[in-house]
Amino acid sequence: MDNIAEIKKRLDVLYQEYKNNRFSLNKTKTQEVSDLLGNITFAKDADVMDVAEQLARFSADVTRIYFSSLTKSGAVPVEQLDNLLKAFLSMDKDAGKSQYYVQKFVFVLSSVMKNYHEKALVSTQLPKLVTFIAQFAIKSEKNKKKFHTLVNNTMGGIYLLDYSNINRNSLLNIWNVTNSIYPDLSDARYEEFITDWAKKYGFVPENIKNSSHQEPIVEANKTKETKAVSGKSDIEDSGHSDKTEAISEKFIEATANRLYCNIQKDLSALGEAIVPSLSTIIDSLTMARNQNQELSAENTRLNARIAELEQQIQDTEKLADRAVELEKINAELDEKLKEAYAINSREASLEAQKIRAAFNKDFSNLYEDWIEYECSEVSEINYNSLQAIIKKIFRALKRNGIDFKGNDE
Amino acid sequence: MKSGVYYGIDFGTTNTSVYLYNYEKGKGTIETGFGTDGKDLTPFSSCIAISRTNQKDFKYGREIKEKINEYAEDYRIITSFKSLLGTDEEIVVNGIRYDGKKLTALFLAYVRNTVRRERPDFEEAIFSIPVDFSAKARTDLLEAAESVGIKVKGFVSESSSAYISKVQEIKAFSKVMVIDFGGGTLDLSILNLKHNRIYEDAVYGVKFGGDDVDQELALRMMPRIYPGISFEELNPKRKDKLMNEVERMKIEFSEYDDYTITLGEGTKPVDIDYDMFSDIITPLMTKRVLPAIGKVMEKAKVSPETIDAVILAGGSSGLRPFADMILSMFGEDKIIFDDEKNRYQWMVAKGAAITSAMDCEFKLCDDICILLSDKETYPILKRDIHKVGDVSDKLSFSLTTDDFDAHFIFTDSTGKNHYAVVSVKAKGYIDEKFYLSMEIGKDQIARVIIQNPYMGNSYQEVQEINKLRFYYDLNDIEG
Repeated sequence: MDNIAEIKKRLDVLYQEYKNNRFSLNKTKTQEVSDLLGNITFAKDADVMDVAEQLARFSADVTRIYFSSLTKSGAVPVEQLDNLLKAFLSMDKDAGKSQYYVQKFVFVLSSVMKNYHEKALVSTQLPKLVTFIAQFAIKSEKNKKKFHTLVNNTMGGIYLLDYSNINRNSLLNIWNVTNSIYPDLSDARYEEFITDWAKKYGFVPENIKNSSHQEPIVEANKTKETKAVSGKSDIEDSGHSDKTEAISEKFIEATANRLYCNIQKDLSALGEAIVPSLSTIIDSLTMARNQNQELSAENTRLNARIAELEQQIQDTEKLADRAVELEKINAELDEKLKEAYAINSREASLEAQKIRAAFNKDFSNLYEDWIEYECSEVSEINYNSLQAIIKKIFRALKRNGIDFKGNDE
Repeated sequence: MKSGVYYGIDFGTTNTSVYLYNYEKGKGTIETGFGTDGKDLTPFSSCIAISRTNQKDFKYGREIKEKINEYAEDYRIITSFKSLLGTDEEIVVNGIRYDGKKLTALFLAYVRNTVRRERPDFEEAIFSIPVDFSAKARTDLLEAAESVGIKVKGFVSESSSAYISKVQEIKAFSKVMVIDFGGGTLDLSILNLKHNRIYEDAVYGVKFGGDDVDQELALRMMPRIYPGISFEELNPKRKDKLMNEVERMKIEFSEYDDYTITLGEGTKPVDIDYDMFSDIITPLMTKRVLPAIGKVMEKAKVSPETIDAVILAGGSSGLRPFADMILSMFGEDKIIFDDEKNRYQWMVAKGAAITSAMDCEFKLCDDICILLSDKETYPILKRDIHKVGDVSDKLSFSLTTDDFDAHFIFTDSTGKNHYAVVSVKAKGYIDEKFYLSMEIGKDQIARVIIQNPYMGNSYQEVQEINKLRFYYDLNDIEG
């Protein structure tokens, strides 16, 4: 969807849904709104006011996602971001709804500071967002927590921003809320940043070691009134305050001592932290070495197993070859067996054929004799002849393998 | 030895055997004889009956032999047509002339048809032949066989063939006598085995066989059976019956000592004992067989003592008085008896089939030389190198005189034994060239061709040399 009008139309639909749903959108649609804003931002005829209006009317989650996405690459120039933020700030026209911008600006600051690092320090709009948040943080615990979160999210980076164009009252709000969060600055994680900031903007003397016992200054509640009267941002109207640049040697020494003590304390703490860590590391290394040895042994064992398996594969392949060979031999043996049966059958057939032929040869003449004598007269000659023929028959039978007990041997 | 089916044919004067040798490498052999009664029983009787009235009526086989006199009235019975091979002799029946080759072709066609009923693959064979079978006879046999579709793979002598059939049993012996006692002839050979090569040291044969013994027995029985009547006076049926009885008597005397001749109603049965039988046959053996054995031993310069083994082959070898005589002469230890009963008649054909399977080479025992003008010999084909089927290089010779013919004298390596003399026409020019080539055919005959281009491109003289001696190279023998 490239056309801005269409995007706006869609955003209107989504806003209507947001509104109807008690100012709530599901995660997908929240993402969609953010994406659509991204499209508007980088559209050819983009107008930051369009984006600012949408950011103003949708939830803080939209702001969080949008700025997280916009600043992730750090590619958008800070000046362009400032234009957008300036437009965003200008949306705060209804004092009754100003507080809704606190969380949104916390998200803006967190994203920009996180992704732009020192590049963010030149921004002219980010300090204004901080002062905006601060003026609400001094009024409610909830918003103070948001400020605290902001300090942590930006790792104290908000104290490095350039507040030289911010009026004293606004700065006082920051200072007061900071003191409110950190009654003892020495406990503050970003004590140095805060101290430097306080010194820079004259809330603590330059020669003071720390500002831990500094009382809050009650001026902050005027800010809103001023704004309400003028109808413009108080920041634009404020003048520059002179800064004390001179640093006495005593202060430097004190600061150096304090830093030295801090370093020693840190080193000690570091040592205390490192020794058990080193011990843990040594234990871990010992364990790792043992594990390494175990792994080496396991590796050796596995290599042996691999070799064994490879051997088994080779053996299996050999067995497979052998099986094929045996199948072949088996087939050959089957074939030989068949041939043997066939030969046996043929030989049996041949033997029978031979016996028939032999009988035919041996008995054909004897049969002719028998035919001749069959109807002959009974005489001694014929009797003797028939007796001889019978004898020849039995001898012929014996010659052909048919022997009778009591033959004429 | 290559796996395959091989055939050998023992083309005998009285009987003809066909033998199948089916060799499968690693499996063994299947062997079968083929004859007139089917397989493995009786060889084909080498006789043909030609109708005297019907030009297309021929009869063959045992039926003819057993009723030879009965058939003789209507048929012309021809029994020894093998002896007609290589001769110009002819027999005329019903106005048609039959020479030895034609009769042999008729008979071999019958043999081929009978065997092919069982074995359609019967197409090629090695023929066994007598050692003294003439070159022309060999050529006639080859042409007759091939004219009826039996391809002649080669020839082998009958005695060598018998030897080869038993070679596994006797290959350790060097001097072996083969006695092939067939129906019509007795063929004797002394073989010498050196380094798996068979040399025929001496051969000798006589026309005496089982048929002669039958005839003698019949004649001697006549006075007792038909007193006062001669054999010729008997009617054909009685003749045939008597001859069949004689045949049966020979068989029975190989096992028994008595036999009763019965010749039909009205004839008195005649009892014959073995002594009487032996008394009739032994004189024949003494008169015909013993001298022949002595002759062949004399030729080979050996004695019964120096003979290592004696192989008996041929259908008549089972004749008891004959076997007894051989036994007494050489001793039982030297006799290679047949391994199976009544198998003598297949031995030669079996040897021929094995020869075919071994694909053995028939190599020259001596050089074939030409005698030069200085009396030196020049070998054309050489011993131990050239074999059956070989062809010499084309050689050129020059005339050394101005004669109008040139004499080519072919001799053995000594120059003393002349194989042949060939006269070739010449113009008488000095250095006139003659070109000579020689080939040994499957019939073991060397054919020499001599050309003289001076006499014209088509002029040539051809000569056959058939007195060659060969040995059989058994390098392919198994075991």
